[in-house]
Amino acid sequence: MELAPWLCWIMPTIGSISHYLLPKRMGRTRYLVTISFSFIAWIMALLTLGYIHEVREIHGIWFPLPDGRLLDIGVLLDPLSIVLANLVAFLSLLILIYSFKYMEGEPGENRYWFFMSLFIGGMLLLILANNFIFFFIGWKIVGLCSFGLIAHYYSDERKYWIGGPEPHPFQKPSRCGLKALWVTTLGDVALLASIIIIYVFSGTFNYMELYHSASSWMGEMSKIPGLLTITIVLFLCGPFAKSAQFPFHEWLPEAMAGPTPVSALIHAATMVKAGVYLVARVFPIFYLATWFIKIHEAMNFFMIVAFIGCFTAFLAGSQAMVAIELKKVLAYSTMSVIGYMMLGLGAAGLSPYALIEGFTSGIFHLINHGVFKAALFLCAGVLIHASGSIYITDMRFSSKEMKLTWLFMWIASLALIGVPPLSGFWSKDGILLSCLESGQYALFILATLTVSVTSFYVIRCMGIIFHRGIDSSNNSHKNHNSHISHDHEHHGEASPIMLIPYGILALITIFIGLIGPFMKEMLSELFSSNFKHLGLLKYGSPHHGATYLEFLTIAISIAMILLGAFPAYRAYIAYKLDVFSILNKYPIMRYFHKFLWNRWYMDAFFNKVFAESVLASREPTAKYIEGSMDLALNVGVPRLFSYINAGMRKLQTGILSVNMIYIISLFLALIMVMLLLGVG
Amino acid sequence: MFSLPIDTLLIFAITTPALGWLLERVKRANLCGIYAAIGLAIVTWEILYMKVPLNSGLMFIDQLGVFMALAFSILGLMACIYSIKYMERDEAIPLFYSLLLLMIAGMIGCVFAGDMFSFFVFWEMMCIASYTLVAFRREKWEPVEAAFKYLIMSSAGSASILFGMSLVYGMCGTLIFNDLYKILSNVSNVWIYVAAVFIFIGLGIKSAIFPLHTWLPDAHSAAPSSISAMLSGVVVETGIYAICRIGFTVFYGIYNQWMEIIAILSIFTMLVGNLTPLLQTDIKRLLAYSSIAHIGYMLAGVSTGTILGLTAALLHIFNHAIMKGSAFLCSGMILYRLETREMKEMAGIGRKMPITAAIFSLSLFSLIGMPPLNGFISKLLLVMATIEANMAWLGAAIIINSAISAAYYLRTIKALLQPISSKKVEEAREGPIIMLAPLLILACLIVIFGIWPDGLIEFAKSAANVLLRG
Repeated sequence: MELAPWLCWIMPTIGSISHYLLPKRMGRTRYLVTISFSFIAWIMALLTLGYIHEVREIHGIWFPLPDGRLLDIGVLLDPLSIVLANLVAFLSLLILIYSFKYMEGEPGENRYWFFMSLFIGGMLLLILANNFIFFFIGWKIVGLCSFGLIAHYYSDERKYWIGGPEPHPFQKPSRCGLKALWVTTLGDVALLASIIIIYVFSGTFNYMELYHSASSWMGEMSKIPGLLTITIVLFLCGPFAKSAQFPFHEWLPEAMAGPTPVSALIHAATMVKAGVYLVARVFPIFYLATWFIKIHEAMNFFMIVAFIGCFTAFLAGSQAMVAIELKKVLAYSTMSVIGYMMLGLGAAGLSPYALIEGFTSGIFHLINHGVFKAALFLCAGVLIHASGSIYITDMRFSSKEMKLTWLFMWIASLALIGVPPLSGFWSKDGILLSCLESGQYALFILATLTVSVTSFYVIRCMGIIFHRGIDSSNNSHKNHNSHISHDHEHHGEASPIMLIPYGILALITIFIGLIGPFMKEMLSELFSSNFKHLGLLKYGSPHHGATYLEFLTIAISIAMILLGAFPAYRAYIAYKLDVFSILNKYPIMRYFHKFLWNRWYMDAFFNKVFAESVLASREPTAKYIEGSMDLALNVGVPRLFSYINAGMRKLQTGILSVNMIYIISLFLALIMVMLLLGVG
Repeated sequence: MFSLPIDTLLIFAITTPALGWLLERVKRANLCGIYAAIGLAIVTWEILYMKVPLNSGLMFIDQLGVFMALAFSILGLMACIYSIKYMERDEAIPLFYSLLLLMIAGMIGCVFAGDMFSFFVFWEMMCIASYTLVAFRREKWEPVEAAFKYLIMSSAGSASILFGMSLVYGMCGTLIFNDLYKILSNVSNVWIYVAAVFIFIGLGIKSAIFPLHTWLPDAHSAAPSSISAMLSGVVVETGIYAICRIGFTVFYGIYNQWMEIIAILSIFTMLVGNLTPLLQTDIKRLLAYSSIAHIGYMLAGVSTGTILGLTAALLHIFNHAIMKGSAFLCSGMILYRLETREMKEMAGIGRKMPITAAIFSLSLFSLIGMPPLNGFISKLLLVMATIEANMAWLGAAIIINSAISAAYYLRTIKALLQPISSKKVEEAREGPIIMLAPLLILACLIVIFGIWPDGLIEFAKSAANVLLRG
């Protein structure tokens, strides 16, 4: 049992090279071995469930740090890490099974399996690690794997480009991968800096030690005004970049250039949640500082998390309303939902009354989202394969041909909207409730607004994909590549290997939805007992008295869903509303559409400031700085040394008498010096 | 009589010509190299298992002596094995080995000597053997001229040492180091200074301190390569040893004065050693200049006068013996195959002699002071020692000089890797195995002492403790 958490992350890491070691003639069966390593990881994750009621650190090998302190590779088992490890291990297993069919015949398959399996190992390491250093190693492994997988089609053939359609610009996979790497690395560097600052004050990387000694090191830090805030901002850059939150969100839509299972696993279900996990992981420390040690600066942590989360939720949701690439719609919605999770965690820290509700529903939402978003992505993969196009406007499926896919995708979509009684409803509702409980009404209003935005874009997307075939004659959406979609006019159901994983996920969505309140109660029991163990509940028990608040949020949330769903239904499913005529009629709507289509012009802004300014400085740098340095270093220095050298070589005459003169002169000089020194 | 290792060496030195006379009858004269190598192996083993301190009449053997003797015998053994093949085309081979053994016996005698006079006798034994060895290929003009220059200058140095010794004897009536320390440690008069100048000038000529270094590039490049390795690697360092030993016993009373002068001279020595070879194209001459530079580093360590500084200096002596020995033997290998010392003519030899070139590059990197090789460890300790002794300017000089030195070392490596331009190089092949074996051993030592220097540092520290009587 003690070994289970270790094997859990070691197994996929070993698995990543297993297919290289097996003989080539085994063909694709080798990848089944890779999958089996992931399967073992899942079993091991299940075994750790036995520890779920306690907090337990299992120490491993020790390393000395340069200053003599010790650092160990250890595993921290608490409800948070166990729940997430199970989620990750389970989802990754299903997605690997799906990829076995999906990746058949794709280029670079060995590389794909290597990165996927290594990614799973890294992700489990970052979840299970008990200190920042090993957490960070896992964090970088997943980042690098993500880079490798986004740029999977690095040869950049035309068919793998994303973006567009004409006349809008396209992006190539290799550039998308690089962008993801740069943006996340920017955050990682800031995170590392803040970890080091914390280390300087606390002298430890271990989470539990950091928590228990929080009063001393946080106290020290808060004596320097502003330092704690700077540390918090630097720290949050890491999770925000990883989880694609504003202002680091621009990489995620373009990360969709990778194969679809990659998008499902890394850019929807697991890696982007690592940021949420990190915030949840250090949550007790900052909570303790805010409400028990009474350091007011520590409150900024929760403020930033809540506001950025809420804003990103709205920002990304609004962009999804106009996107026409299927995977991009899903990517925007991922950012939006992660924004909700951040909001939940932030709201939990803003008031002791919202602590349990906010934290539980944040993590609960994470679990739910992992399940239904993975299902959505896997469905999307099937649709993209079948239609041969990445645009929803090119897809023309009917619910009759792909009955099961249609059904599963609708289930997952409704869960994403938050329709009761599906899983998303319970957790989203909890987040909204925690906003009210913590008294953040502005956040509440923006979050409820986002609910209707979500409902609009999901129904729009589904309507365009599945319900256009009903009367295609008067449909105003022109096909962008009609010849492609004609080839794929009649589609059958997907292969069972691909169908079963997302079927399972859809069924789980329903199941969690049905037992939603109980499951949430169970999670909240787990976390509150954990917090009680940490001594965070002393402040006063969170009140459950305001039942009317719960009903109020449910009512508001359903009303907002309907508010968003109604126009979407009219326009995209019933075809009673012609969106193009609306756009043509009201110029303001046109500008609004353009503003959203260009992603609020943020991408353009970042490009101008960071990419183009650097490119513009190329010429002057080469001419003035590099040129003069080149002249000084590569011409000046050697010339100087060759002059010196020529002078020095004159000393070496090779004439014996001259050499003897040197000796005599040193003699005289030394005697003079010695005598002077000695006499003086 | 003179302690076991020296006796063994002397016996082998005397019996080698006899054996050689027999072997020359059967045209197998180079086999007496094997005999000499066996002798050196026995001596190495004897030194390793020597119990210290040991006081046997003339000899007073302590940790310092054993440390130095170990460096001498290891490099001597390697050079001897290497010579079996390298010298096989020469005449009078038994004489060569006999002289080699005598030279090593002289050096070990120097470091084992308990009084100044026996020190001087062994010193002369070493010098005379080395003059002859430099001029060993007497049919060419260059070695003879170089050896003559070496002889004149070094003899002047010996005379000056002897004169200084006579002054010391006149003052104290004894030449035993321990007694001299007791008598002179508090005395400071004009004659001490005069004696110190004479003795240090004499030792300085042997250890090639600026401006007494002029004989070294000629002699070291003209000698057969295995002898160059010995001269550069250990013979010159015997001078450094003598400066330490005599400086810290006889002239302990005027310690501060000569330390400062040595510190200043060390910087000049480094500069000359590093700036002169920058455009040098003769590979052995280049290595000879670099020896002068390394002498400068060692002197810098000695001049701090702290335990760390002396440890670093001794460690650098040991490491330099290995690195420079290996570098000279590699250049000898190229010389053996191509018969040239010109860098231009050996362009691209690394493609034809990959093992030699790899070991050559390794030893050059180590001479630059790249981690994780042994040269890095001792240079690092030297710099740390200067900082600890509040002489950071000296440490800075070491670092700047190491940076300058990288220029010509890297130029050498570049020459090994260039495209092949001459027919001679095209036809060259890897050297014979018996010459490669000592190179491989030295290369292993370079890496091993770079990665696990702890034991060696401890050893050097115990040797340095002897000097400071700690």
